[in-house]
Amino acid sequence: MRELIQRLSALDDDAASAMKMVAHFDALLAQGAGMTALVRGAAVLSGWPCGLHLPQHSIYARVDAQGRSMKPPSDPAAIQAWPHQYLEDGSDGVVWLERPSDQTGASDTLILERLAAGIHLTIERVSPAAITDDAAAIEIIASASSLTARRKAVKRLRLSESAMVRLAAFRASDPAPQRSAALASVLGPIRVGIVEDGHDAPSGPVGLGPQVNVLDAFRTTQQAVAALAVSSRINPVVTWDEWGLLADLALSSPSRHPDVERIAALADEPQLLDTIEALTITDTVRGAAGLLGLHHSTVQQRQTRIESVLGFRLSDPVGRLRGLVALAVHRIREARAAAEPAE
Amino acid sequence: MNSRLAIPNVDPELAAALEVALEGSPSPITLADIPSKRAQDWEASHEARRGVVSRGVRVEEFDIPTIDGQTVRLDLLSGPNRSATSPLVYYVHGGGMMLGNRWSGIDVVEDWIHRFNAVVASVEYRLAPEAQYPLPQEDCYAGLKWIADNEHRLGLKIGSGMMVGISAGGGLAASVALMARERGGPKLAGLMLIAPMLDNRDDTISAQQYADGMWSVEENTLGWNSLLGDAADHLDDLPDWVVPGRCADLSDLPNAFIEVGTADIFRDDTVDFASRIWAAGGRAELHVWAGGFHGFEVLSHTLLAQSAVHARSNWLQRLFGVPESPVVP
Repeated sequence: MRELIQRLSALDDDAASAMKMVAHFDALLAQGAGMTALVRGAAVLSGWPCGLHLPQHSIYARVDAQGRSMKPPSDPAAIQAWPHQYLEDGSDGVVWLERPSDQTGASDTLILERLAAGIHLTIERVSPAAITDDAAAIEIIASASSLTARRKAVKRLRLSESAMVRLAAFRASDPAPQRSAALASVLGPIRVGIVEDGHDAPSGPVGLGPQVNVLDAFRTTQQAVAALAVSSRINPVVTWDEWGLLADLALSSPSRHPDVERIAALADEPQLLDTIEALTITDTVRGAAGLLGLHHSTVQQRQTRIESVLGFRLSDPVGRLRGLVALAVHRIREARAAAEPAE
Repeated sequence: MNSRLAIPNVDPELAAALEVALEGSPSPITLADIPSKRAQDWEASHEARRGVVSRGVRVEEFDIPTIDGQTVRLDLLSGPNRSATSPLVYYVHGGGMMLGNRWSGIDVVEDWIHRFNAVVASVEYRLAPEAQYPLPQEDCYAGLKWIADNEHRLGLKIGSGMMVGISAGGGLAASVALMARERGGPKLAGLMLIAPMLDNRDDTISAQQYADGMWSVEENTLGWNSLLGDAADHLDDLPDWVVPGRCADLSDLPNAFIEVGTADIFRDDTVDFASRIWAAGGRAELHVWAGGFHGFEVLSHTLLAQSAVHARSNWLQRLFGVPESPVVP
């Protein structure tokens, strides 16, 4: 018996050994072995201490090359100096292999990749993520939830309690992104998602709230909604930070106002509304023409026509601001009307 | 009767380790394999000895007299801090009665030199089929008796000592314990049987379930036939210690620690042995490791193997009455 068993760490860096290592991790997963078994396997296969830290789950494991438990490294930053891999779920979970930098290890990447994947699958088995589950996302978004409920939801969504996020408001008719929930709003039904800092912003139309700690995200729902309200074909991704008070103002303005009615009078020609927007968010006719992809003389002609209907000039700062808010209020009114056709 | 035999799973970590660690297939050992296997065992013993010595263990060699006027080698292994209270561990190696040498599996007992300041005696009993009943058993008994006869000179106390055997060594240790009872000594404090090879009948459910396992029924039959020779035909006329699993009376044995894995052909014989010690009023601690196959402790990184090592050490603390020292790796 004993002579049949060769040392696991005596494997070569060749393809046959790689196959064996993969088979090793597959066998652990197939029989539902635990996370520490995966870490021990990595340590013994590599011949170096290996570790696992899952801050969200308060799980920590570190074993030496013989598979015996070790204390945490005295300096947590040391992990960064060793070959390591973060779990791909954005949870800040990390696995590492304590090979000194002057030693080479052709199998490090393979071992860490299999270890990280195995840990992720094991988490999913014992504590399924809820990143497509509205129920968890709504706890983060809705103001009625308790701190305890929000903390639990953060775990189920595989987010860190210290994560900085933005709420992203979408039209309800758009495909539901991960970590999102349907919500009633002044714009009618929308979907609000949770976007982690540093991750790609979704494509529009979308309104992004201010950056905030995930546990405080519920305070920013209205700001994300306001940003969505003022988004447009020209400016499909609006961050609340860019509009601030203007977005809130547009959202809370009375929808019946002479300025808004005049905008509505132009709405049969959507290109005119785009032109108003382009003129209000740029300094010059040339700038607006560039934004619209038109010759500046065309924009000049449109501006003359628009100003005759509005009764104020878009060439001075107050007029631009007035036009911008009126246009936003008009669009919010249209969105509400579309959401509640019976009104 | 079910036509299909239900079989418990092997422990996941052990199963995974086998995916990488098994060298070739565990084809049954045959008589023809013995010379090459023994050569490998000796090769490995040099490495084992170098390792032990490098960790500060002192090795003393003795030639002890045997029942047939020959001598066999017995090594005493002790740590640098050996004292008058160092407990004796008398070690009987495994190898199916046919293989192995006094260095085989030495890491198991070396651990206790470091943890308990123990003195380990390891005996080079003669192997079957060249040496048959009663020589291997008598060699093992002779080693223990020699220590008892020389305990003052050696500075050892047999009465607080412990005998341990692994696999075939476990079967031999059980035989020696029964021989000592029959002959009025030496009397030990403890007896540790690790996956012991106790019975030649292979008539248990576990033998059916793991007939082709790490230690197969075919190998077990070869081992017992090699040991017993012609004696196999008239076991009823022989002393009851020859095949310890067949011994009806298991009373008056040393305090026993008995372990086996559920995926071992020896599982049922081992559990039965412990049960019968209890039935006879004896003291025994039985550990049955779920999903452990024969020799699983070789995969020492697994939690199951670590648990087995821990359980032994825990029992030794109670047997020796001393705390273990932390081992600095």
